Amino acid sequence: MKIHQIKLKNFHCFEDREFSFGSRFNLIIGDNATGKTTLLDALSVGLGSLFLGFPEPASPRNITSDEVRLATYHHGDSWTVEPQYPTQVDCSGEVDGRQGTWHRALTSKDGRTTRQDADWIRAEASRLSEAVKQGQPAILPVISYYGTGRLWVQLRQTKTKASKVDTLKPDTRFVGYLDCLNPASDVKRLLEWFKTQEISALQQGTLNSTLEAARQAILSCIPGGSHVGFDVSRDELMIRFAERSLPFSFLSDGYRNMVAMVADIAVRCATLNPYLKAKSSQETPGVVLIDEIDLHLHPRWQRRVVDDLLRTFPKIQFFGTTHSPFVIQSLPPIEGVQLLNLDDEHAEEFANKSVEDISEEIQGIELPQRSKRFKDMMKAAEEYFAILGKAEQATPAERDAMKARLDALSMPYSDDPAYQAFLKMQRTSAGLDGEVQ
Amino acid sequence: MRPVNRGEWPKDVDGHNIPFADYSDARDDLIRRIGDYCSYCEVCLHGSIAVEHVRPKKPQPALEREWTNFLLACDNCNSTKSNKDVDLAHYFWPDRDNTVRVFDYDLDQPPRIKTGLDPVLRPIAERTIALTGLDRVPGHPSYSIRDRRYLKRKEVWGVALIARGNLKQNDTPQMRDSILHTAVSRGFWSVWLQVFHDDEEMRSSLIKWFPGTATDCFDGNTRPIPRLGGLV
Repeated sequence: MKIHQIKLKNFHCFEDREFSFGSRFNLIIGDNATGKTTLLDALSVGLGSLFLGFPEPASPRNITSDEVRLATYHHGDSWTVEPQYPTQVDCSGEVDGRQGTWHRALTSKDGRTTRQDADWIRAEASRLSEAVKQGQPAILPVISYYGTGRLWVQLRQTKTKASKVDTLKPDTRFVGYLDCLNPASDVKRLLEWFKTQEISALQQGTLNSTLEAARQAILSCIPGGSHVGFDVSRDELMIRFAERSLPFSFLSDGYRNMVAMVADIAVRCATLNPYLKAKSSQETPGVVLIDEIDLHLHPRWQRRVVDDLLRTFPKIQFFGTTHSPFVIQSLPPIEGVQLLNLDDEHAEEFANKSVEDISEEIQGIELPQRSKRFKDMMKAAEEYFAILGKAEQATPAERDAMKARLDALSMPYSDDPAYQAFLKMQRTSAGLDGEVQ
Repeated sequence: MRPVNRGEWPKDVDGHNIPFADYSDARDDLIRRIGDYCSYCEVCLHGSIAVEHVRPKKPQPALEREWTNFLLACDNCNSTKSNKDVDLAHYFWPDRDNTVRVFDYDLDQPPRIKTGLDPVLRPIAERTIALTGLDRVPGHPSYSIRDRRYLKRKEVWGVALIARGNLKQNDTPQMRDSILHTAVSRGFWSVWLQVFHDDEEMRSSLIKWFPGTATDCFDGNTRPIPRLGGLV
């Protein structure tokens, strides 16, 4: 499944706005209150329409009355707010490789979200659902929404986790949609899934390819992790790093959040398409919405999160919001990856820009002063270029010294990791490391 | 500045010119023909590059969707060149002239006018450099800190010199191939051509590997020759 376009009318803060999306990663940026989360909510209405044709626990997402745009009117001393029905969400997209459009609307306060203009997607869903009923290998798309509340729920659950982790009974493939559009994620079920798979692998004495797929997915997104698995004797999900193993509940906010989110996507893929076995993460298509993708992540990790997700789930279309220039800068300049700036409708170029330029030019934050290191670099560059023009005024040794100084100072301002590595290597072999700081 | 040949107006199956509803629709065709490099500073932009009007569309609206008026340019060159109308005869152009015969490239430096250039042509070369601000490096009066062209060029100089060293150590067809792949993915063709100035095989490959390099600018031994229809 993919969403190509969405048109919103009277949806929360959007009076009438249309968005086109890339097929791989859509990074949504904008000031607070410009509608980043609202856009994700609208997308979840679009995605949730698929569930009009799926059995429980998949449940359709309707437009709620608090999503109706309110117009404010001023009457001298007083103000009134008037809800602007109808609220409309129009989508065009793809289900199971076929293209179509569908529309949902809420026309009055006591009305229900219309479904008559969502026939196309409902029919596609019914077709898939019938195939699943017959036990056929139809591909079910993964759909999931991670809101900013995702961490809090996990905290509360891990604190009250005095009782042991249960195991899961065999269930329908559609259980992979359980609560999937609820922006708060459920870590309990995740732990249960791991425990069940781990025990079944132990009993059968063979590798469980579904479990291995989930492990691989998690490890490919967790820097430094070497193993992840449910320790049945400790009754905990354990993550092994180079020097020690840590229970899931002991991880820092950033790690726990990322492990849980990637695990949740991977486990949903495996639950929806169990016949894909070891390839469930790679082969399952779908749409994943992530509010504040940089939540609790160290800047170094922010720089790789988009790449990690794209690589681990190559058929999923992602929508993420962020305020982080590091995430914006990290967007790979490839087909299907797009930056959506809600402050400014025209698309911006993001590749080859420094974090400073992104803050200043795309996010519109004036930098009152650049860092001391930046100023030093500019000074070194001026000196270097001044002597380059006139070779007779500097000896080769002086020139090389100036070049070395500029190289060292400009290293952090290069966006080119390969070049940085080259410079480092050269400096190390010349015994210059750490000289200019 | 790499001399390029953007080729004929793209045709449909019946051999008719494909009209461009919007000038930006020409972008993919241009990238296919001349690569995703800025036509002036030669930075490689990996797809995030804009269609450039040689004669700006504001003063020349008739040329807004005209294939022969298109090149590709980066943000910096594009905005320095601005909307000011230009008289084509007053500048050198990568799609008309053999620009290899006009500019020299030395370690880390912006393009410099060749010492041997006919003095009559010097003012044209100076105007060409000023048009897109190719000489702007820190210390230049019009240099802006948002202009990272010098840094990108310097990076490629660094990488190209390392590549040259590697080739000296280990001159194999595989090494040559991998250097050419690196060159194409990083741009600054003129820098690579200079770094391998004494390696005819490498020069010849660089001319072939970068899409759309005007081959009529070189003789069989990769020596630059006057370009038909150009000023040089």
